[in-house]
Amino acid sequence: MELIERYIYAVGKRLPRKQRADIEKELKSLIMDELDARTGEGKPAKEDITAVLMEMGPPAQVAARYTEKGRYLIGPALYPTYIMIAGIMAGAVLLGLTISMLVGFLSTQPDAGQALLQVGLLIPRFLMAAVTGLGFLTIAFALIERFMPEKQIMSLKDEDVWDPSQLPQVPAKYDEVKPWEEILGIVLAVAAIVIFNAFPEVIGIYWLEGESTIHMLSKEALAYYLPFWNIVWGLSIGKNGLLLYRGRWELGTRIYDIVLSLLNIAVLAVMIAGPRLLNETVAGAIQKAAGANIPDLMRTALVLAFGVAIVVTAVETGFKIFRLIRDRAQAA
Amino acid sequence: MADTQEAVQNLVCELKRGTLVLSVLSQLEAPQYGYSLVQRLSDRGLAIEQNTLYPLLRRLEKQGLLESDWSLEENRPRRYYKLSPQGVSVLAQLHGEWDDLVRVIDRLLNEEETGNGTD
Repeated sequence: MELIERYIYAVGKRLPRKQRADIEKELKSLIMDELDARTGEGKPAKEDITAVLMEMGPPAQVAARYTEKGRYLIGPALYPTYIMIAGIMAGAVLLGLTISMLVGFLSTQPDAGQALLQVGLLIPRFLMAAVTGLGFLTIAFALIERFMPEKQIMSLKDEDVWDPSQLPQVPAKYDEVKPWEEILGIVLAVAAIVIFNAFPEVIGIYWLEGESTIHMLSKEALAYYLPFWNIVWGLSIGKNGLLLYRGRWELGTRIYDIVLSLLNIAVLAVMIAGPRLLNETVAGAIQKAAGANIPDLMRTALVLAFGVAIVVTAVETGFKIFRLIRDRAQAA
Repeated sequence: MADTQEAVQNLVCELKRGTLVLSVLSQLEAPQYGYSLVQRLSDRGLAIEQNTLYPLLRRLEKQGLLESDWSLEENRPRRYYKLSPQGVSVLAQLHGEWDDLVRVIDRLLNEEETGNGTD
């Protein structure tokens, strides 16, 4: 008889608490019936009990059959959403850590070795933060799974109402968006915004003059251009985000992209025409030291570089426009 | 050969699983307790594992097709299951569906035996 108690206990501890007592009671009566059928009215031998229990099956299996819908931490209906949010969260954590590291670099000005160490530390930091985040996310989803009525969870999937014609087109090769490229774009743009707005003094090359270092780029010029750059970076983050969200290039994003390129050209043009980027104090010092008109040469080189950038961007933009028109024509 | 045997085994299992609910409902117009139902089914040629049947009974009760009551006899509490009013109507409909299915499958199988597509 003790064997039976042990068996029922083994099944019961695997059952949801609410149903446990009831199922245990039923299971016991079923086992007793089986035993009766086997031994008649007499006292059952240990072999009989063993045989009956073997016939019932392993406790884990019996318990599994009693727990009808399967016991999930996060069930199939919620799982895809869970995975998606986990992915977004991992990306956001990485983005946040990278930005805070870059900001740290700017305020502490580490040497190469320290900087490398910080970059290396990014991995364990990411793992720690990601695991913590994943933990909270899992708890949240497990609570939803546990307490939200099944019907409501199923309606989240929304699969009953669908229409084949509403399925998105399979993106053509050139319409595909590579998520990591967009994420990298966002990281770089955010880093640029943070650096140029919050720590403009660290940018550019330094000119040593006696004891003090002087910035080679003119503060006034930077301040003059910064609003333009911020607009371009902001719009570019918007583009990356939009592409990530939509998962493909579309007419809207293509036009957005072309407008952004044209804006880039305009900003470069402003930089050629606008205030000089080279710090005048530094320019004077160089001229005095070198005797030759090196500052003018440097200015010319800068203008040339901007010019080349304009041409490259213009060609690229032309190509984008050409392809857009061609694709539209083909699609029509 | 062993592979074929295994495949057949699995398919037969699937087939039987599909008919299980109908078989069980068909025997519960009068109340039965777990063990007596196993006996009844096995007397009529349907061998079914207890650990499949007992959970199934609870599930059908939760779905509202069965009703159950504990009753004490010979000093032993037993849970008796029988069809609920809804279960009676479901059984009748399933019965009709089953008859249709048998007819269709029968037609399909015999068509194949006579050479498939003589018309």
